[in-house]
Amino acid sequence: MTQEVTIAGEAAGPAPLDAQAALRMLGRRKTQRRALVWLLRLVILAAVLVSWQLTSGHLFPSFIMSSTSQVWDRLTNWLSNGYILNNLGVTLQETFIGFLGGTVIGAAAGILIGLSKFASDVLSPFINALYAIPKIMLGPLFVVWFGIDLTMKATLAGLFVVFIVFYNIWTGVQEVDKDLVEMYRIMGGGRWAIVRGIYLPSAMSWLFNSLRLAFPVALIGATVGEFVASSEGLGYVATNAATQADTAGVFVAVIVVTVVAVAMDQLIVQVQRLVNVRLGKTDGGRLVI
Amino acid sequence: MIQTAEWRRKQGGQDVPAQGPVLDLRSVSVRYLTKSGLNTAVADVSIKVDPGEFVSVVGPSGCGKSTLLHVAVGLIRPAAGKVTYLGQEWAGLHPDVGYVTQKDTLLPWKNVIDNIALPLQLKGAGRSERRKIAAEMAQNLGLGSCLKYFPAQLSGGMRQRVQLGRTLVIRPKLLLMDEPFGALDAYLRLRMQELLRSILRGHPVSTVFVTHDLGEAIALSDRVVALAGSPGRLGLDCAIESSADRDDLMAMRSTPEFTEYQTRLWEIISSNEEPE
Repeated sequence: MTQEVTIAGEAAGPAPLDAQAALRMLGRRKTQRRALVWLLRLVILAAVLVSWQLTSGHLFPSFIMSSTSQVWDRLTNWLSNGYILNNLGVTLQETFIGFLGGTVIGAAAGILIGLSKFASDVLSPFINALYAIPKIMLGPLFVVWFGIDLTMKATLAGLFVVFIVFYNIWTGVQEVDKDLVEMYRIMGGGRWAIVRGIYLPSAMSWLFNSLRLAFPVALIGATVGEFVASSEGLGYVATNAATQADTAGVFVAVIVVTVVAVAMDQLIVQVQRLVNVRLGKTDGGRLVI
Repeated sequence: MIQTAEWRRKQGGQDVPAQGPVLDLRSVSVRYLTKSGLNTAVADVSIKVDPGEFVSVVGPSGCGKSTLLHVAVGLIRPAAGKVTYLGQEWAGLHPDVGYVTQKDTLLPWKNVIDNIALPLQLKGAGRSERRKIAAEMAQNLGLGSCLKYFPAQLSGGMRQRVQLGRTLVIRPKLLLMDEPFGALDAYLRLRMQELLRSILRGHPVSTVFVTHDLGEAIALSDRVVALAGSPGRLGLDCAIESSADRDDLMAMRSTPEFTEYQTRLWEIISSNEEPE
């Protein structure tokens, strides 16, 4: 506790610091740095909002650009009458159904096909072709198949997700360390034990890597579905506002979608950290916690 | 060191037949199919490992040392010759054989105790039973204080100890080690050699130890087999006898016999080298 440490460059200083004081000082510096980072972030945000407000109606016409205050008014108005939350609920429902469905189907198919070298060889040109399709273009087709209700949008979102998850896991399964598999065989592990003991845990880490990409894409799928044909959801809010030349309304829809995407991303990152600890993954020698 | 091997047999391995070797490779040849045709990796090599005996295989890179272990563990079928394990002709993998390589094959998502317990899990042992056995093994290897650590939190030497524990936890009748300490620095390597020596003293296991380090082979072994040339052929098969205390590896290394063995082995190994 009372062990003394000297810090290089401070040898000429008045007295050697004790370890507790040095730790406290390090802690203070870290806190100060974090505060400065957040302060600068807020300054940038404020600058954008203020210059948006000031230039609106001067540099650009306000019916094209809208302005900070107009967007704020529209947001508080729509929040208070429930318009935004109702439509957000619709969009989230579509997104989550597509996200979960696409993840489950993509992960299962990725593992099953990836486990068979032969199946992978046979199917790879088709998989690559399907991956390359601009999936947005399937929207009109889905209207014909599923109508314009929830099913169409969730399917579109799921289609976006399924390929991202599938591709990550499919390539991951094929890159599993063969020495690990050989070691398992030597220790007496059968085929199923190898799948359960090596492939599934490895797949968990690829899965979480793909989920961060997949959620925003699911959100795009759902809103695009709403663009194609709908009477509710944030995509509808945006298109509907645009047809009435209500740019503030479009901005509100965009902002709300962005907030949801960021919040979900943070949630996935936190879950990913927990999973990484379970998987014993490290970041530069330290366990990621 | 025949008495030592005999003594070790009495101490451990009750299932090991009193007569006959644990592993018997007779005139084994291994060929690989490559683009340029059939390539012989090992030619006509015979190695016998008696119960409790520690046999090292040395030789230059590419002489087929590791290939020979792959044959012994059952991963490769020899093109010619016969492999006998515990008196029976052996085809395929055997669950009583422990196999350690230089490569880190610990599961990153399992902690120390569960990594060590893995072979027991694969054999169907219950959770608490296998953890108890694995914890004991970890204690013996000096890993008692980091049972809950994940491989990424361990140093290279500790990871190699966990691998060793994972191999020994099933009480193998035959231990096959392929340059297990090759990736460690000189100091850690010596510590691991001492650890291996002391563990095998308590629980003798017939061992085949592949290394390119002559000193390591001489210090640890009852017998050293030298392969030479490419394809690898048997160059020398000699028993190691020393006046020094065999458990004191440093003392062993400073005896005149040690230097003699080293010189002899070096001559064999370098004799068949192709001129560059």
